[in-house]
Amino acid sequence: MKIPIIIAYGVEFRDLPHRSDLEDELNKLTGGSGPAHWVYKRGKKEYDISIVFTKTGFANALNTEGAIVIYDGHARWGQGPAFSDSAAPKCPDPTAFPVNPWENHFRMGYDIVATPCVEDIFTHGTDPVEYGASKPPAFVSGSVENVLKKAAAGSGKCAGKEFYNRRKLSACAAAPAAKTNCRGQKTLEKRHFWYILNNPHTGDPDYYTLVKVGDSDLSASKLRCKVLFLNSCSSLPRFYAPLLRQKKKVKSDCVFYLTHRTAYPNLARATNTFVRMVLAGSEPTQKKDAQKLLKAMNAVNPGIFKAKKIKFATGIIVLRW
Amino acid sequence: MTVNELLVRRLLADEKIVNFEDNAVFRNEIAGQTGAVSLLLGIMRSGPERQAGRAAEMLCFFPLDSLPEIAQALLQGSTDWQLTLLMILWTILAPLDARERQALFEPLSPHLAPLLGDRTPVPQPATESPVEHELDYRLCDEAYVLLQFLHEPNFDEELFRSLPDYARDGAIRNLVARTDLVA
Repeated sequence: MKIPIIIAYGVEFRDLPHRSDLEDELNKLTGGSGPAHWVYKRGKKEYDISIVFTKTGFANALNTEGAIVIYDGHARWGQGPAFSDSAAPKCPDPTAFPVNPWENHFRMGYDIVATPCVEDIFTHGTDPVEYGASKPPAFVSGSVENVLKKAAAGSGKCAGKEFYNRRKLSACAAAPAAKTNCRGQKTLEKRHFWYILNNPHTGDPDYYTLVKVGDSDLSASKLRCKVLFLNSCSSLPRFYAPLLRQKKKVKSDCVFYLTHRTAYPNLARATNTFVRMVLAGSEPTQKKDAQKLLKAMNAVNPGIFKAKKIKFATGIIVLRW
Repeated sequence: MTVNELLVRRLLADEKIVNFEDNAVFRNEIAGQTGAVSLLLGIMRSGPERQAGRAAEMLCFFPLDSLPEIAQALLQGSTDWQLTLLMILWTILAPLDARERQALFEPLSPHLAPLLGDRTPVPQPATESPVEHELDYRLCDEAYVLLQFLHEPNFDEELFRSLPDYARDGAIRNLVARTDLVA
């Protein structure tokens, strides 16, 4: 019986070097040439390995009986895996990309999530539906619950003692609110933000808004896969609770490999390590093999020292049954 | 048995070894041997860049009883040094179950607790990497999260990471008070 291994690459990650590194490895191992499909026999086991780039491909992977599924891509701050069927820039032109891949999400999150107005919404030219604060959402993370609770007592002023406070971006940060994005839209003009954090790269403030997400795609899934490795930033805090809820609902046995915090650059090779070790015989649903997999994937990447500019990265993968 | 330094350096230099745990020489003659941790820490500190990185990688595969010696070195270097050691600790600890982690709180907390007063910001990757920026941790926050990971089976970092600094300081004070740590 063939064991399916399906790697779904998200927008931007599909075009990073670690994907072509994996394809080269698979070509060498199997004697095949891809693209996007290989068969590998090891003893009595036969692996059917494929690469997909679409939301449908990812959804089908999750519903493939006994599959080992890996998502290698952005978490989009909890808005969900996002897919593009061709290389897409950070802010795609609407003519070339009538559907913006950066908001082409597989919905598998909480009812609402927090996302930064500048680094996300403006930079990627998206226009997510804002949470309107009229009806408390049923299913939110602890951090968003905390935001809603604390902001309820806020004054609405731009500058104030309250860290959490629902305010119109145009009233407090007129310049970013008025900007037209690469798709010719002003998607921050009418938006509200709830708190401010500095972008650690630029040092500039960024304004966190609350957007509607939900799990409409996940709730349609039977989760027939035996393993799902979400190799994206902070997949544990963002997606574990929705995944667990669905797993219980459909009585799935799927186990989840999930990340604390940032997945790149030190986890860039995690997908490749995972696939390599599974093809070498590791069984990711068995505790002893799972421990070895976790160690190998989390081990400090010596390449971080090499680059000098990269001082530290905090990605850690854990397993949730 | 005291570790053979030449053997360690030979393995570090052999880039064909991708996973040290798979290597019999590493398992039988290096991992957990007397002097191995301090040798590798020395190479991390002053070796050529690539070898220093490989040394850090090798330490990730050391057994649990090496953890106190690794943690002890936390106070012996810069913020970057401390963060690298924390990564090594995380790698060794991540696969453990809650009971195993709780058993390590006592031997490790004396070495982590002094970091709870260090508000130095964690430097972020400076490259144009496709990273979603989501948290601004200080060294004290990193130490707090690791201590909680050991101490509390159901600790969920998700709320802590979203808090402003003053609220995180409160959570840290709370942990110190509850566990009699000396910060």
